[in-house]
Amino acid sequence: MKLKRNLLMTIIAAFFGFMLALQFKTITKQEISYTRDIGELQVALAKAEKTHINLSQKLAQTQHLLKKYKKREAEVSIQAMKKELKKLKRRAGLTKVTDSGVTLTIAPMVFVQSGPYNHEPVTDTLLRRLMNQLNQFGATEISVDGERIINTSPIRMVNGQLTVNDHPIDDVPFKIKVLAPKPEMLKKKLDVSQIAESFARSGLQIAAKIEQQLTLPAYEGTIHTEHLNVAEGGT
Amino acid sequence: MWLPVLGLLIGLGIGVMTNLSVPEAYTDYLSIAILAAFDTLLGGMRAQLQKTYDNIIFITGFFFNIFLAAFLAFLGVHLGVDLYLAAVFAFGVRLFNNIAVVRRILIINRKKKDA
Repeated sequence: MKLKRNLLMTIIAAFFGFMLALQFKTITKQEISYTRDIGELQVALAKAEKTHINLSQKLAQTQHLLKKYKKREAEVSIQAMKKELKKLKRRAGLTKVTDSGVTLTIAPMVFVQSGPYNHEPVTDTLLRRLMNQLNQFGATEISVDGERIINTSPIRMVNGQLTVNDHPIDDVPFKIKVLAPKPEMLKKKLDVSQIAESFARSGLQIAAKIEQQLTLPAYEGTIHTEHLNVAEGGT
Repeated sequence: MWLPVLGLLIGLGIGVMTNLSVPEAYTDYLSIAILAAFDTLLGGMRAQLQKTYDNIIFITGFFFNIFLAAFLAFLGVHLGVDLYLAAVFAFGVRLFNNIAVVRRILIINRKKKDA
């Protein structure tokens, strides 16, 4: 009984000793790292500083690269936006455009025998019809007597005076410049169209002349966009 | 009487020889477990001297105290309260108590022998 008791005590004591040794070892190991001499510490410090410098350099390089990428990204997007803006301005008629086209001269009919015909003034209805016809025939840009026609250009009669973009148009003869990718086709279509006859009924004739380089002025008014909304999901 | 001391030395030797070490995070638990174990060992000594020793009580006390102390430390860490201090205090007081009792009994025994 006593032997058993002593044995148990011994085992427990051994266990206790084991734990104690473990704890001592762990604690002293921690202390070792704090009791190195100055020389060792200096070497370690130098090493750490070297690592620090290397890492700093790497960081600077990476940051530089990141900045470069960001800048390039911004530049690319700004360029794309500018390009798009230019394109949109051109489509909206806010820029001068030069392309192949046809110059139409609206003038009174002249008869060989009796001289100039007693013509009627060009009405808004007639001009609007002409615009529609020209658009049908493939016109891309139109200007009437130096007034650029855009999607919202008003063509009205004001006190018997024809106005385009709220600017009065001179009496005949005046010129209508039409840009078209295929000016010959437009001219031919115009020559055989009803609209020429309508003009003739008013004593007016349309003379079309194909030009390879035709410049249209920019729209000079303000485009009101207060009722425009961004279309959802549209581009 | 000398057998437990021998056991202690053997345990120390094994601990030092082996390459085992406790992760730093657990040193607190181990230290409090050691305190509990030391207290139980002294308690066992005292019980032997007082002739109230019981194997079962001793061995369960040993492991239960270790476990309880470690558990208190663990709970304290997770609750943000230094609960291990409670264990340190309790075991510290008991340790001194046990040592005092052991000392007294030894002294009385010696006096009896002398007389």
